[in-house]
Amino acid sequence: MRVSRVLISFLLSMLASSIALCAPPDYYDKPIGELVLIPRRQPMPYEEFVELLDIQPGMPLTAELVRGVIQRLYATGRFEQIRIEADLLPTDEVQLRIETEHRWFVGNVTVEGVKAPPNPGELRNATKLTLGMEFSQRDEDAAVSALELMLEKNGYYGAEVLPVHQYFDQTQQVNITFYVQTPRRARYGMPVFEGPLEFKDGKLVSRSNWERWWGLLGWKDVTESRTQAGIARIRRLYQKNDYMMAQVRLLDMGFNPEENQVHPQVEVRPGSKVEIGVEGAKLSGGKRQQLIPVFEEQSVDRDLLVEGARNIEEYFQTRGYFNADVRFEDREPEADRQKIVYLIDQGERKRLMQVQIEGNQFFSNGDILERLYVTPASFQFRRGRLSEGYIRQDVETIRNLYLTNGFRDVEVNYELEDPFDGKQGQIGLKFRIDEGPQVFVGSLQINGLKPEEREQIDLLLTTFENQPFSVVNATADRDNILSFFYNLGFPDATFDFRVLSTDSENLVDVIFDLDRGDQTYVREVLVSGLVATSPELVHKRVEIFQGEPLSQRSMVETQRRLYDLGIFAKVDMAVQNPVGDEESKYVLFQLEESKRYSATFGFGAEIARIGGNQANLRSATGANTFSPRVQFELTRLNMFGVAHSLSFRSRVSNIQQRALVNYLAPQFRDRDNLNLAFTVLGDQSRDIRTFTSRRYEASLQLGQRVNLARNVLYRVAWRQTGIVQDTLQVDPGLIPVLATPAKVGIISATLIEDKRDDPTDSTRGIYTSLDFGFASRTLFSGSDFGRFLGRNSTYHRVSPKLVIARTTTLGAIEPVTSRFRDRTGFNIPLPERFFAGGAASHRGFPENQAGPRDGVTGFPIGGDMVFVNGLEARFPLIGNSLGGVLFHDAGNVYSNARNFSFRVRQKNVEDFNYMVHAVGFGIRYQTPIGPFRVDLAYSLNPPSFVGFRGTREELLGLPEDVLLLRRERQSVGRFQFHFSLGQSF
Amino acid sequence: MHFVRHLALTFALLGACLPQPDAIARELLDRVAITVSLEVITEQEIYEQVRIAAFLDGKEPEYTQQTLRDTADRMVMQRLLLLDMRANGFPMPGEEELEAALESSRQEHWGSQESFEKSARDSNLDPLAIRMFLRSAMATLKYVDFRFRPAVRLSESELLERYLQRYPQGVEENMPEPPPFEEVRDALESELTEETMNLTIERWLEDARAQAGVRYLPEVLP
Repeated sequence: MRVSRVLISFLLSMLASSIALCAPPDYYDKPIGELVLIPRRQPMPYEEFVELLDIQPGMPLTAELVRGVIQRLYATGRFEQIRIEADLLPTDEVQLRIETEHRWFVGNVTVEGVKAPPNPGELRNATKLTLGMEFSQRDEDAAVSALELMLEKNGYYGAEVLPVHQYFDQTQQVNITFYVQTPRRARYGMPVFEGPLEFKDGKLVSRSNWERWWGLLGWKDVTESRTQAGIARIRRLYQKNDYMMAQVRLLDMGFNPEENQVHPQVEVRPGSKVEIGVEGAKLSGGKRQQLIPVFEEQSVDRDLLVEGARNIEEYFQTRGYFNADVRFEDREPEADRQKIVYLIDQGERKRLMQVQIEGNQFFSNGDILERLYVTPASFQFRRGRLSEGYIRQDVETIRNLYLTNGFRDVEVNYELEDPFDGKQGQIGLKFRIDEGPQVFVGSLQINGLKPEEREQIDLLLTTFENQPFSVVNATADRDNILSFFYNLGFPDATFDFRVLSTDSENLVDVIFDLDRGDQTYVREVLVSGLVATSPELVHKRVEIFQGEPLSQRSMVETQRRLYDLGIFAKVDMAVQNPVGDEESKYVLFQLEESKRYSATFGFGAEIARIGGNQANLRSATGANTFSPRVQFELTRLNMFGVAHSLSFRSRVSNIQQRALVNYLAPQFRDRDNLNLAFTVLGDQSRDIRTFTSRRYEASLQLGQRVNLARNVLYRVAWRQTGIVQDTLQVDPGLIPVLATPAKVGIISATLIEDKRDDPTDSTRGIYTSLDFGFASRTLFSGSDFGRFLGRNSTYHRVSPKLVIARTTTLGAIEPVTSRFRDRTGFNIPLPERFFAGGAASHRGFPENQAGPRDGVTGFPIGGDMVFVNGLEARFPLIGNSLGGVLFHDAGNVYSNARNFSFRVRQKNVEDFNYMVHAVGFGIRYQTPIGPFRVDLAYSLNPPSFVGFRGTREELLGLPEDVLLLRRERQSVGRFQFHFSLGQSF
Repeated sequence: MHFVRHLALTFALLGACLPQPDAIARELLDRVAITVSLEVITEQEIYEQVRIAAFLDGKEPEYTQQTLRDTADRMVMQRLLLLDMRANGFPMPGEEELEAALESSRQEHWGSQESFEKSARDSNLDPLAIRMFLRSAMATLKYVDFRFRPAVRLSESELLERYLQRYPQGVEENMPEPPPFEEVRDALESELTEETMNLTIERWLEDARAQAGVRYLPEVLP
């Protein structure tokens, strides 16, 4: 037997030797006469492949050449295996056979057959097969396992997952569809709790929320989120009962295939009770939870307790207790209850009286102070704003300011003066700055640039010769330059900078070293995932093209354009074979279409001075009304696969009923800045006290975004407007005129230019809107008139704490001809006229109560001209959340442009063509959706008018002489309150 | 029976490599054996390394699966270090340094340049390949020292612990008196440094292999 082993090893070593000599040198040094590629079709153009081989006919075959070919081909990342064989031709030349096995890359991945949850996106993410990555059997097996696990977590036990591949030879892409056959989803069953529970099982089960209707209807279906939420709820139950260190863990789902139920096995370790107390100062429960991380982290350890002490200290410091000292101690356990107490020594409450800067020469005190967060006491911050955290932050701010301006050695320290100026209860803060020398750039050299690129790069630089040197600027330059080259298709570009000392202490030479690497081009753009969408629609929005440099910016821009269509829930993009060393690459876009139907319901309410008793005409200026509102919207996205949408919207409240159908074509004619909308609506609203208007309208609007700030809307609209007869509250004599249904066909254009810093709460910038319209019989209008409405608002921050804002609204309607002209002089249908007054226009009036009024009832009837000017001073009041406003509003609605006047006195009760002035004060409270606003206005010269005491029926039925007796002098109140969200303009 | 089966298998394998009518005309020259990131180690490179290593040791090359596997592992380690060297801009050894090392090897085994070149040719080796082999080996050795030695920080307590391990105090009565700590300190430090370095290198290699996605193609290296 021993002999046999020796013989075998001998033979095996002979075999190995023969393998080693399987590449006999006979072929080497012979000229290469022919190349054979197997397979004939390679995953790149033939010329590119041959160029990679770098083999010329007649070239002698060497081992290095063979290795070089294998290395170069493999480096492209496109091949799994490369074998090179040789064959001798009759001409004594060598035929070289290059045999390749191609690699596959992940394309579109979908999972089908699963009823959510989990949703398709979650399932796809679980596979971890990302677009463009190399595809391997190992990864696919892992994906199947991950899917099975996720399905089990969601109650699908024993689901079968079958991956099906669709191979695309030329692009080496493989689309994978995981077909899933799911059994019926399992339900929860009675959980098994382990450990010293402290609570009854029933309570824990009830807390888990796994039962349907408290168990009356059995158990709920298993989902992962439900399981996690149940465990979290049980844990919270323990924490609420002071078991701060409670551990609640799901050990096993305990699936029972016969019942198709799970019996979650839950381990509970309540630990001992921990009570966190506070002594020495008051700290609400909410604040404790916010400041002491033990509550959030659900564990008690020294680090978290120390952090809690620091947070409490910081909290008291911000409230003026600058010397607050917080410690914690572990008290003796009482009855199995651990007690941790924070001992707070608030110290004396103080005011920060002064913040001083010392040692600054380059920057003025003002330049530095305006950047600081610490603030001396003022009306806004009654005790000032100071804490150790704020000081540290400000020290860093000052340091960075100097560093970016070439002071490399700047040092910033601070000192507290307590008591300040010898006065107890006052404190001062002094920042000491040691600027050090300012360093300038002596010379700037950029290596690795072509001469023609220098000009473009110069525009991106923030480092300049003879300007202060800053590492921050050099880092910004690096980012800009790299981004420039990435966008030119140099994904491997690298950048380094060196700073060399010079003979002068104040000068350094800066050298930027750029290595651009190889340029990569687009081989082709591959789009997948389209189901209902027209491929043409997508391809027209692709900004990267075959043969062009692979630009990251163009990829991102394409992604943005596709998202902007509003029909894709997800747009994934990737470069196939990202690490492969090849000149051209496939760019992949995988799209997931959104659901085609979406429905939303909304509830809301408005409070305004618009209501009042419909039957009684006494309150011509309206009364406060609460109006609940219900909204419903149904949208069908991606109509005809071209990204158009059709939506139906309705709104119902007791002052408005509206139904609207809108057809929207975004990116009209494939242009990002155009959209076309066709709208049909029916509306019945009583936003003006005088009447309930009924409007049917069809409009076609083309929106054009000229640039980021400027938009133009071109619109043609047809309206049938009318009055709901029994709601009209004006002189019966006017009824035939005002109540006559009017047809308006109007063509209009609106220019909107918005250069405000924040549309909800502007502090600087300008906003302008100009609307021109012309109603003409040629557009089937009942009357011919021109209409203009313009608004211009400006905002100036005159100091860090004061913003001056102004808005002017000017509008005019000018009839050309009209069939409405009669004794009243009203030429324009009532709903088309201007109305003003209220929170968003003239605050000296209730909602829409400015301007001309009916001579009998006193109700507003609008006018042909509007002018309102508002001026506001906005300033902070207390802290950062509460601000104040002083305002002055002036203007009115005029019967027509010829009657416009700046006059401040009302001539008589029938004169409304004068300017009403109102001054007032407002409060703004910052909320995440904009400031909540309360305004109190005092009108200096409110209008008086003749009103009617009685009901509408009396007005219509009583004889003329009795009516005269019922007429009385009324006026708009001097004080007006307004509540709303957002600034007034 | 067992022996017969082995013998049959061996002959079958040998037969597969014996010249066949068609195989005489077509031979496999080389193929991918291992991939390290986007770099390749070919099958013939592994054989060449075996030959060079044996040649420099003055031995006959052995082509057993174990030798091939060990050589492949060594080559992977070397390739990972070379990739790291390249990324960190560490220079390759200069010609003079290389020549000095080669000369010392030549003197030790072959006596003269001519004798060395003749032996190389007889072993079917290109002298240039031997130079490359030596250059890579020298570079990686230097780089390992540069890259990993500075990270080794030994505390006095670690040295003392090693000393106590090596020279247990008062365990047996007849034990010779251990040398004083200061006397053996340097030797212990050097030993412990090497051990720590090896451990660090092993850990680094593990990470680097995972990062570079090192793959052995089973048809070449089962």
